[in-house]
Amino acid sequence: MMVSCRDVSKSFIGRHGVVKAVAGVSLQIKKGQALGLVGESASGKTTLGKMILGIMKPDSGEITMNTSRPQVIFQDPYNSLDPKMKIRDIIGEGLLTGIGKLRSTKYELQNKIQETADLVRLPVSVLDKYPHEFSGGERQRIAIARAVVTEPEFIVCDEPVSSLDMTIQLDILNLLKDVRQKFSMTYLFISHDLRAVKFICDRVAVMKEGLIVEEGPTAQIYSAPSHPYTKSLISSILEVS
Amino acid sequence: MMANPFCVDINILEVRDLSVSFSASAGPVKVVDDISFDIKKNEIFGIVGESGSGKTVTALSILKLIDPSGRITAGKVIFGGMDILKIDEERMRQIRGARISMVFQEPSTSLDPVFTAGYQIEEAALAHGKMTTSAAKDAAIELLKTVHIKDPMKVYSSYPHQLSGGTKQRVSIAMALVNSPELVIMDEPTTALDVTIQSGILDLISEIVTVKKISVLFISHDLGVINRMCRRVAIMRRGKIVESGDKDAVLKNPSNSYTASLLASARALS
Repeated sequence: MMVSCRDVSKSFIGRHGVVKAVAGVSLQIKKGQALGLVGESASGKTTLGKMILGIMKPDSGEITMNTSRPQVIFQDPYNSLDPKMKIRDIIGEGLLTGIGKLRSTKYELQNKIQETADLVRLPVSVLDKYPHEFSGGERQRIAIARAVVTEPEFIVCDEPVSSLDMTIQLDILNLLKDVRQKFSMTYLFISHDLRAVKFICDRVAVMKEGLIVEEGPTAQIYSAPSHPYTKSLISSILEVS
Repeated sequence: MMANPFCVDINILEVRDLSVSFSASAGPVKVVDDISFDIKKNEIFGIVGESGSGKTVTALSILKLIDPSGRITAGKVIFGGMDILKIDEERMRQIRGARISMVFQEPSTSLDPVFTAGYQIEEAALAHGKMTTSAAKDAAIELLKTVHIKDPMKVYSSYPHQLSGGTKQRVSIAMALVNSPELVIMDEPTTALDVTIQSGILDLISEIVTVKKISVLFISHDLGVINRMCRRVAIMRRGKIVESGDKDAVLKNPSNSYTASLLASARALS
């Protein structure tokens, strides 16, 4: 088991009183699995993701994660990359802070950065540029490079394609698929986009108002949803043909 | 899909050879590059494209609302028998918001946070001097019912922050309808909404087009939404219309390689 959540809750105090963002969630992600966490805005997906990563503490419940170096890819690569850092330093930073496998020499460090850029299909010429010189899709490749450079076993992808154009979405999803296969990684893939989740994930958990209302293998959730909310989500998918 | 029986083969809007440029530090950038299309009476005409393709600038050019750094360099926009690019601002104001209105992507920013929903709908009516204050109030409440708001009186006196995204977009649609326009431009009207909410808004738009017999210019990046809503479409890329025509024909047999790649991406994800 990579991740195990037992009865996890988290509330926030808002202007209109207490909001229960996550209201008692139990969830498991097996090693090597890609679990999709689907739900609409404010359903609690991101809060749950943050608690699993340890960025946020739950009010109650228990979370165990069987890796010491999880990684994360955020939705908006316009905000997630430091505008003052060169791409080389953005990608390499994780190797210096100790959560990755420490590279002892500069040469090894630069080698690893280049190798990772190559893996996410970024030409070496990008490394000495700054984030503002890139499009959204390219920035997301940089964010993926930064996440995978430490060879993590587990990545939380929080809406990684939601801000991208359709053709670019497909490129990035294919890249996430390839990278996962190459390193046999575990994903928690948070998205409101059921099409993206179907493309990437083996299992799907559907979240609504802080609760998981349904969870199961992707094929089953899409072909035979049992919860009415899942049904309405699935029937809202608009096909092109 | 069945053709809309009310759709009449009369052009309500004709865009001819329209070009728009913006000034940038490296010189002028052509954002809309010699495009032409027609919108027929009582149809939903779709423009699809990715970010930066020029869809929104096209819409804003029709209303002459582009930023001061932008300039319409060529072309005509024929509406009501005249080229509206040639008329003065005073006459344009009689068209904008009245005969041609607009629904924007993000209702949280297109509605004014300090006025109630009802006031904002009335304001749109009163600005054109077509109604008395009490008639405007009646019209606002009636329209809130038309857009299927469950508690119209409550929403009438609510401020935008008290309303959900879907309700706010319904209010924006009511506002766009208050002067009985002939054409409503909708720029990504459901993109900011959750999918289950999107579905309800799309139903509403189709219903309004049928009931009010208006025409809609529907702009979206989402081929699934376009497929559901439109009879005819134009595909935009880098300021040009690369392909246009009957929606079913374009989606089944795209003649342009870019359209084909857009479709392939959409299909791979469905």
